[in-house]
Amino acid sequence: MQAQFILLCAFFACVLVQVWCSLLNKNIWPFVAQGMFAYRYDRLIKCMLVSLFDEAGNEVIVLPERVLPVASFRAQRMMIQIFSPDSNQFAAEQFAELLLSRLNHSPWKGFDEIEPSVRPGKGGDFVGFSLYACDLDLGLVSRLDRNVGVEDALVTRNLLYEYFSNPALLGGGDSRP
Amino acid sequence: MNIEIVCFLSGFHLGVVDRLLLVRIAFLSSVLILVCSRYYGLFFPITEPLFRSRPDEFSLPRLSWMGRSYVLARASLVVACLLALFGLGGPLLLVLIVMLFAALDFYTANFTPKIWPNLFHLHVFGTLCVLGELAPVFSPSSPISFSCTTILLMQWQVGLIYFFAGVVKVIHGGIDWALKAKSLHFVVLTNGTRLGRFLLSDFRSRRAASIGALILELFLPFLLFFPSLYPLFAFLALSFHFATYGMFGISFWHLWVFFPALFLLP
Repeated sequence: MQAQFILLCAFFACVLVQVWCSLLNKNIWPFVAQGMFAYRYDRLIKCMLVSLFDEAGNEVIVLPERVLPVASFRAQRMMIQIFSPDSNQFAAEQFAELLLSRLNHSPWKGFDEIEPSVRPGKGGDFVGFSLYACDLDLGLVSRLDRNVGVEDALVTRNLLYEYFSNPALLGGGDSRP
Repeated sequence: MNIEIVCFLSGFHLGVVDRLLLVRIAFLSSVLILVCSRYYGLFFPITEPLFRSRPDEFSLPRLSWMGRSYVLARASLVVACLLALFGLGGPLLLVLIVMLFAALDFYTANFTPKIWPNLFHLHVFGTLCVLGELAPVFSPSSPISFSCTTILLMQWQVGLIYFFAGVVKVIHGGIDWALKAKSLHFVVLTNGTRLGRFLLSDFRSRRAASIGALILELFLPFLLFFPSLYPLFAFLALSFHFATYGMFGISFWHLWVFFPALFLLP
């Protein structure tokens, strides 16, 4: 009886922590706020996009989850942590090199919330990428069909970081407004 | 707590030992699949020094203890899960699995500490499963009643997950979360499957789906007050998960694999 009482008290303490996390929308491992989609969006939505360039100069625009082998909801935060202007630039360059190498030589299949990697097309291997902080206007894509992509909702994009395996190609990401 | 009350609240007919065994199998299978998948891939230890580096340092920090033991921890966890699934090792092996999985999850979750650690329920179920199996140790006078309580708490935890998900949407997304359906719009745009884009192509369908999801999350847990409605609870929750999988590819399978043991088997 005493053990059951202690068990119930421990569970209710655990519930209280969950209440606190939910009220503040804070995640403190292992406790979770269950707020994955609980956002209040204004007119413009901020998100990150990655522009990949192949050897032929073709550009592919994807979300960060297509370039990192992690759960999709983690990818954007990881990209910000590594490539933000005040992060370690040596580490950022190493990470960028690894990212391209994995996309070209060790692509992965999707599993559950891990998206499949973007694959190089006929234009050869990916040789560089640009990471953008973007504003999306959902009003531009109010009717969704299979042909509508994230780039159709793009209003502005600000370059956060770019990496090219051949430094002479730097600036290749400025082809779009 | 009186055993009759606990058994009534948890809707028992199947023996508690059998039910705990099914929970154990679901837990071990989930951990095994997750640990073998890219959720715990080598990406983490390979990039750990890059994530931990400071802006002003020219050299990268050394791998942490967990980073160095990562492969060994994963391999041990796979072997331990397989042994436990074959009924070997007893409760102590299960304790080891729960602790090792927690260590691995803590390590990978710390790469993005502010982001949703979505396996909280697995840690809760694993811990309660251990306590349920060690019932004769913790509660020698009434081990069955103690084990029943652990199952009951797992059932409540499932309900709380939906309830908190709904509450957080109301608090942080406001009523506009459902009425303007922008969140759903964004998810369909970025992660929508063909089916999702077909079914949720216009504003009215997205708003209906958002309102439906919010109502479901807020009120579904109240079905758990009535054990005879457990199958209905499981049916509605499964329908919700299959719908989100069909429309956005998000299945949350590691939660509903516990439904047969917790709600569906009489």
